[in-house]
Amino acid sequence: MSMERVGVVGLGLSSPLGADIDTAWTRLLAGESAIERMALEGLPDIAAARVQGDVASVLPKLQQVGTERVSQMALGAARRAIDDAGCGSWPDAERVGLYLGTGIGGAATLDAGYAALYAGKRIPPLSVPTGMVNAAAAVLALHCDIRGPVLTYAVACASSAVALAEAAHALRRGEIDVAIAGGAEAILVRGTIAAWQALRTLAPPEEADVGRSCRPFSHDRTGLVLGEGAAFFVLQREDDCLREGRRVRAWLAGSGISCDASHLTNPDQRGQMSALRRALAAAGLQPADVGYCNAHGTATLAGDPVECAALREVWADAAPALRISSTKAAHGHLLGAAGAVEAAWTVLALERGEIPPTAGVHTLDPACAGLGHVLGQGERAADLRHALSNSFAFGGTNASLVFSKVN
Amino acid sequence: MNSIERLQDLIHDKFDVDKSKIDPDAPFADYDIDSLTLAELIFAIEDEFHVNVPDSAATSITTLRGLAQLLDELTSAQTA
Repeated sequence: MSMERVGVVGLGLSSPLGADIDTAWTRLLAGESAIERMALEGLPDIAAARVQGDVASVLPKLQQVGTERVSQMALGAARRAIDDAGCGSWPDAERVGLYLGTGIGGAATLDAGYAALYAGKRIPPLSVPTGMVNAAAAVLALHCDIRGPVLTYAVACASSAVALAEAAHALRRGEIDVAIAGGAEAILVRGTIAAWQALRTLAPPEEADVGRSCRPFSHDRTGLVLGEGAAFFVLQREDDCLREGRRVRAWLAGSGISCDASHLTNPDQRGQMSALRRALAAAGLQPADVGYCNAHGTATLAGDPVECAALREVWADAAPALRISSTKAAHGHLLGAAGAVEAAWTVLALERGEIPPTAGVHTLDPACAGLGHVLGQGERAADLRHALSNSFAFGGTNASLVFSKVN
Repeated sequence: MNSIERLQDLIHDKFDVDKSKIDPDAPFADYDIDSLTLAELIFAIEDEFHVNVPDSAATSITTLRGLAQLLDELTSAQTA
């Protein structure tokens, strides 16, 4: 049985491509990259995609107490989403819920605190409430007056896709009338980066052009590139959207979540296919109905071919016509925020009839072929009716979200 | 500069509170210094004045004048 649709009535970003939706979308379509070289004391340089500008200024200095980069980026994006939805205040704040995905939470707070402690100095007094994994959700609740369920989902790279799916379920169950849902991640600090380097999964900065360090599906891909940022959605039930005359950017038509239950980090085709099939069934769609997939596509050697194989098998005869791209080529892997940022691109693809590319990639790995890859530059796709966003996490959780065009 | 003025400067620098609002005899809450902000302030005071503020101060002291008096006692105890 298919799920009741939920309307995306607001979108807000704090992304490496910018905070303004039009600017970020234009850059994404043009195949630009926000990936830069980043130097860290005592570590090899990395390629990374950072959010530019003064993130902290989202709050005056006195109110910054107890906040850090992840909660500040989250608050900026959530405020822009609420503004985009035209909701200044809530008729009943207790009927508003917050569903936030993050992999780590306050990485910068913990990193700086432990670094001070181990160097013989003192750990700052607010390290616990600022660094805790639900700190960003708490900051959003108190600054956006959200008094219903305020929940944090920590499911690694699927965190914010899961948060969006769960928010839609809470709306369908009638627990709330408005959901603020999305995610935030800010892990570009020394200790966390060193841990990622130790895992040997990061792409080295590409010498010829650091912006092309992340090459999903490419024959010469070398691994993932870390990013940071946040994205939030304002969601309402379909009947409420229609009754209130809301501007709906797209419908969240269905979601599917599964777990591989096979390995901590290795991707698994069976688990991914399960999430894809559940999402399609929830949306009441056949594979051929879906014209675009914003892939998980991290550009690791192991990951990309498994995702492509899962899509080929589920889409079968329709696979060559399924357009696919990984926007991580442009903004890196936002980990817990990736699902929400990429769901935002998926919504915009439907709303504007344009498909963003896998930027900077020209030659596919044959193991990733058999799908309608959009490479280099974006494409017009006025016929696009339904689109999919994949988020596959360490720990084995797979989340697929299906969105539908409004008209 | 006496301790009250030094603390007013510190609160202004750290939290961007207008110095004219920092009445030494008003409760901290009057200029939006809550319990968490006070914890941050005491941490900064300990760094700047090289003292150890006892844990009880965070709950027993409610005004800047009280904090300045404690600070004077702590620094004079150190130099004595």
